Amino acid sequence: MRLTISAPAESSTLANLESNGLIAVTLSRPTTYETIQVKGRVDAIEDPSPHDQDRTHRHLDRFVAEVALLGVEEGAESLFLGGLRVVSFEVKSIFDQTPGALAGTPL
Amino acid sequence: MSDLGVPLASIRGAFQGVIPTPVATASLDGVPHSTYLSIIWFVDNERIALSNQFLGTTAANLRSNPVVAMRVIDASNMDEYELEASFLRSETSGETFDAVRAQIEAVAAQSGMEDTFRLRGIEVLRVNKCEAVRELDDSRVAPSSPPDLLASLDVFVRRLTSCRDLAETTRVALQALEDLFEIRHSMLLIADSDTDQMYVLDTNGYPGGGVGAEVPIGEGVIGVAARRRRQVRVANVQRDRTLAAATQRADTDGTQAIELPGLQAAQSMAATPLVLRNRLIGVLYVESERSGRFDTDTGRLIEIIAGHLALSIALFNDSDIELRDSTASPARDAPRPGSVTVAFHDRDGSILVDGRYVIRGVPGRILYSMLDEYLRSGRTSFTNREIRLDRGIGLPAGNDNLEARLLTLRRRLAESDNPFGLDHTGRGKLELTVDAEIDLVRHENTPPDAR
Repeated sequence: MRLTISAPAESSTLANLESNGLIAVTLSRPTTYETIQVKGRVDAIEDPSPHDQDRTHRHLDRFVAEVALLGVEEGAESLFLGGLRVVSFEVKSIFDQTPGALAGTPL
Repeated sequence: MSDLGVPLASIRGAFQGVIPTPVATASLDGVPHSTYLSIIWFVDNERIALSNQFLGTTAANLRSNPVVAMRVIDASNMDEYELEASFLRSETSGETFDAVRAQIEAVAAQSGMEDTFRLRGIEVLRVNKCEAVRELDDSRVAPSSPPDLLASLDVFVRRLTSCRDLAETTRVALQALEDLFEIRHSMLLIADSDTDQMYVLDTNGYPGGGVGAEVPIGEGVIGVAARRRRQVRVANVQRDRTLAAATQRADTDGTQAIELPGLQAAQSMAATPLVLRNRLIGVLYVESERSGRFDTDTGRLIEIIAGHLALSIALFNDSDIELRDSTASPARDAPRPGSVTVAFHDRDGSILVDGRYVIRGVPGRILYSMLDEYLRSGRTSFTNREIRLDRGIGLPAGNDNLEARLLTLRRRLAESDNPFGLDHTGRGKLELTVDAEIDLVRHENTPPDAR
């Protein structure tokens, strides 16, 4: 799995990934709260290619449009644009994390 | 004193639950775990709390490896802060727990998921680090001078204490919320302890009025605030407003209940109980189309206002205060010819005029008793004293909220299309006007729709 994250050079996220090599990612859809968690081991941390940057910005546009439906009408994009890095990692496990009785169930 | 880089109290906007917070923990052997929590609870300048409804791995990690990191966002300016904290303890009772529980119940009640969202406990954390993620603009660091809430509150209390009767009090209070604090949509509900219902006494900012609409204690944001006797604030409401649907479930017996007013696009709301000597008087409910409108400071302001309102309402329920009616109905039109059928259902006190729902509960029983007496003797003057003594009406002894009930009845009669009116004519005195022939039918213990 390859993932673009916002992790500036001095961030603790980057330091943790580099020292420990383990990663846990929560992915949640704002309008439905459908959520999964992916855990794995990091293979590489790189700067994003132009292609990665392009995909990231298109994803961000869709995200901003979605949270606007929830009343967050401006500023959402600013949360994700500092120090983009691409993390490649091997997925070890995936869990359902949608709030409710099934949260924590392996998928 | 806290030595955090950014004092927690200075970023209360990040603890309103507008934008979910990613929370990261790790097991003792370093396996990371992350989760999104919809709100982080501010406890004091050094402590915060996580509500535990579904926390599985996070709660287990906190116990074996008590360090946690999170990023909170102030939705008013999108400033983001990174917090590092350590686990202190779990709580299943106490001030913070009670406040969190009331809030969670209210949110769950909106979506009909009370059982799913049951609060198991709160995890109290000590914050060791709080830093802004990005450099903040200078313009943001220097806050614009806040509105002088204390001065406005002073004006509010002066206006309230100059009111001469209950009708003026409720109207002036809700209008002042708009004039002084830009709270444009509000309603005041009064608790009816006999039936576990509340009914709307007055509203501001809703075209339809809505006096007499009912809300069961315990249902929805308003009902939970009443049951828990705690203010409930919701910072971001999903577009589909299920509160109204939930609260209108009171109408289960076929009568056409009055619709509870409400903003279709409400994004934030606050329901504040009016409590006096540990007794629930009612609820002051406010809402806004802006998310995060009712922050901590506004919440406190409304609590103070609710306290004054509770006192005023209780004061006017004592009949030894000279009451002058400031909402006497305008001169009525010429008597309407014709006759109407008035159906009274003993089971729930509901009154239907030619099949149209008017009101129920104690106000309904009061109206029936007056109409019955009018048909027997032609009398149109009544007193609070005889209403209190009428066993058929069944007012509780002591704090009976009679003035609030009578005001609801008067306003409801004025709002609905029917040939009756009720005016306040002096201290504890009422005058009934009837502009039609009445056929009064009493139904004993039968559902209103089974005629």
